Amino acid sequence: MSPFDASCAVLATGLLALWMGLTDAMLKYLKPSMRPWLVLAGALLVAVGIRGIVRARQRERVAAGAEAHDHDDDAHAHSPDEHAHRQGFGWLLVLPVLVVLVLGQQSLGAFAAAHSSTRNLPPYSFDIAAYAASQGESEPGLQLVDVYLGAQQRGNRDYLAHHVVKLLGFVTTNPALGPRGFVLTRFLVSCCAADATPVKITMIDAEHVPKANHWVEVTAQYDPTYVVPAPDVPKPVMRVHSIKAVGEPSEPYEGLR
Amino acid sequence: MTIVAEPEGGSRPQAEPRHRIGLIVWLNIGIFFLWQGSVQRLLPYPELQSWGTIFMATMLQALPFLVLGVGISAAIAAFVPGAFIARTVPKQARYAVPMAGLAGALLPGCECSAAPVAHRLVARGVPPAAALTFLLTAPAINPIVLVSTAVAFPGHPEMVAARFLASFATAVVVGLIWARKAAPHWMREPEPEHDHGNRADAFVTTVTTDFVQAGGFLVIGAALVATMQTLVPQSFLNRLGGSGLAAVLTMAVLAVVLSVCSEADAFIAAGLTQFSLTSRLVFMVVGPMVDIKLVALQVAVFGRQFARRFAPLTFAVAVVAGSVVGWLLL
Repeated sequence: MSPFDASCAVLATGLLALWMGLTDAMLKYLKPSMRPWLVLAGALLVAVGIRGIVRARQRERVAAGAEAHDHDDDAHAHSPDEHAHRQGFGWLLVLPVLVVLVLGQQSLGAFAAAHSSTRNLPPYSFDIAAYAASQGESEPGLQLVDVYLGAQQRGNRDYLAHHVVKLLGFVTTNPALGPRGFVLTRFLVSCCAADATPVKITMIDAEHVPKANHWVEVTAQYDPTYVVPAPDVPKPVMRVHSIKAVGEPSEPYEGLR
Repeated sequence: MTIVAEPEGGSRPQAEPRHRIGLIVWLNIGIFFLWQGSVQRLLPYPELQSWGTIFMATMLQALPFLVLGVGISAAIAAFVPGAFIARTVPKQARYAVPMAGLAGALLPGCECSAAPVAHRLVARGVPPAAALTFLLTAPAINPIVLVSTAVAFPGHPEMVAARFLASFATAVVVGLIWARKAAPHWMREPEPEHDHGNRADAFVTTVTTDFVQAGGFLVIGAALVATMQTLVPQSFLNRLGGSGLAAVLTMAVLAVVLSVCSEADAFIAAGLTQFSLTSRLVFMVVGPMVDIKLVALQVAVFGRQFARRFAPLTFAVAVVAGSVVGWLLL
């Protein structure tokens, strides 16, 4: 890789990081708190890339004028073959740009969710009733993971069994649930999408079942007595009060509180 | 792409057509980028989507830390006087190694920043064993990692102490073994520093060279991580289990294969309640020191000869240290 190409690779990677960081594209891959670091890294790479390109052109012109060898290339004379070989790996930096180009920016969706069940999660100590009171709404908005973990605890289970709550997630289907049931799903992320695990809640009594992978806002109430019809139907189970189709939120993942 | 630039004029240097091909490649990518996503509808492979998301997540997660590491390394090369660092570090490994371990523990770093910085320290005359101890402790026991461990294991404050002790012991022992046994040629010689021209140019040249090289290997690492994760879903973990030595070894291998970052691994370990606390400790000790993307970065920065010896040594020492500390404390 010539100094010019290397600087182009640095610039391209920097632009990708900067663009991801300045739009909501990064939220499909990372937790929101990474944003400033991504922007800073992108900005530094863009600056270094531009300056490198300018310098490489200047050096080329000087070299062309004097018909001299490129001083920088010859400075690494101790193992030129190995050096060039390792620098050749720099072309791989095209791959992230190509992946975004070909696949678009995609958050983890129904396919990834269907092929894995929820990983065991760390102990949970969140007081849903207190949180709901602080929200001051009749149907407080919760994360799926709140319902998933809360339903396994005595205090939170009581609250969930007696209150309607609002949830946001995408739809995965399960044939065992019949025509009026589906699974509401959302991924839980602690650092980036590489450590994501799906959180699933079974929804029954829906007026209609939305298409798989579509995002919906659901109001529903936990039913602790419902017996799931098949072992692969996720627990807990909620009875749907209303379903509204929505777009994918800018933050597609949930985090532990 | 088969574009051959026509030679123009007699006085042009020979490198010119090659440069123009590079320019065309990068420009094309820029133009295609405007249509991004339109191709994806032609590729109805959901596995590929998941792979792409995990690949990009791993890349983007590592990128700021790699840039930070490369930036610090280049800043040392360009702005810190030649002998300054070597003078402040003891020459003898038995003093330098523990000191480097503590320095790494105090500095908040991530696994991806540590390798370029450690390599620069070697270039500046720090004993290699000490620089490698720094490389191991910086990501494994910094304040952020210890806090996230405390949050993930609310009922086990001793886990934080155990993680600190086991990681520190691993780094120091690996450093001391390296000081005694390693041959100098195993580690690739650092690039000569660009001391001609002005300092800003030296900084830009060093960042470009180091980033392009390490970034290329990071792409390989991220692609492997994404492939493993797509083939082996995380729920697979729920089906594993065990006790004693089997559990310890399973968790150690998982740490290498999953390659989660050191901030997140405590949350995964905390959930794996079917494993013993000791084996989960081993998971958290091995993970920040040896995993797929880290080994890829070590190959990029220190060379293949180095990584082939250093990664297995670190893995073995980490498993033993984690088991012993776990047996004593947990």
